Amino acid sequence: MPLYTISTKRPLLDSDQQALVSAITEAHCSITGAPAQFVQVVFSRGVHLRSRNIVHILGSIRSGRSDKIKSELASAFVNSASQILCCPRSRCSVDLIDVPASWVIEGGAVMPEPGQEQEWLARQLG
Amino acid sequence: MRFKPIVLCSFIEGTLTNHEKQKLEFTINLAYQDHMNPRVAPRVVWMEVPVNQAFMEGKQSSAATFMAPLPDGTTNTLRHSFLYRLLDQWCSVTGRDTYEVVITAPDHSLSKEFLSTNRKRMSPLRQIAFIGKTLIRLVKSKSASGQFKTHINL
Repeated sequence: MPLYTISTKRPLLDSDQQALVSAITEAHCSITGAPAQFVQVVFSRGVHLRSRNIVHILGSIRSGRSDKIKSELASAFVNSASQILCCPRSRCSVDLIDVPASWVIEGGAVMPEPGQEQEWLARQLG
Repeated sequence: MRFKPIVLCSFIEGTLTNHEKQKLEFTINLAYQDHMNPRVAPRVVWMEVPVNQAFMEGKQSSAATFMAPLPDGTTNTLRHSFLYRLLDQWCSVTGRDTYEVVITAPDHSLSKEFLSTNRKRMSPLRQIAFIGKTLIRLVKSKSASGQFKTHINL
């Protein structure tokens, strides 16, 4: 967690896929302060998106992020997708769903609340 | 209303055998019956993801992802006991490390919201086609292999 599902109609070039993975991972970590170890991205192909969208990003993120942070995340994802896939921003859409950290097990333990990642990682690695 | 959870298990193609899936399905059923109610019968759906379509920490990943919904309002004590039971069973059946799976046990309503948002990325007409295609895939796979199987690509 977070888990981002990137949907497109056509398969993407491997280089575009990797660029999107890097952009989303980088944006998530720099905006939320979460470590990259937590960021998962999967691609779904063959999806006829609504409103003639080129790409849709569905993110399950830990609850507790402010509206400002969520808005920054959505905006960063749209900007990156638009640049990497050379399409208008209006054809890129993002939905974010909040999931309480205590409802998820990752790395063998219940996930930490946002902001408590370093102590959690130290315990896991220690 | 009776609680009928759909457990969505995403895994990378080729990383789980049919026998492992069968054993995992059995243990998931037992976990629900022991933690919730002996009459709860979850439907487990296996979603395959091609190896070059999943990433973690910016690199290709072989991690599996399970979403096993629980009734709304389930206490965290019960939820955590359920989560650790699924994790133990996953490691025991697959012989893989705890780092290779992410398990979510959301409230049932959140799981429905997730599935609904996932459908709504498509236009209304396409949603109908998607539901039809998915149902056909699931019924065919169930009759052929005894398991509900689908694919991340439509």
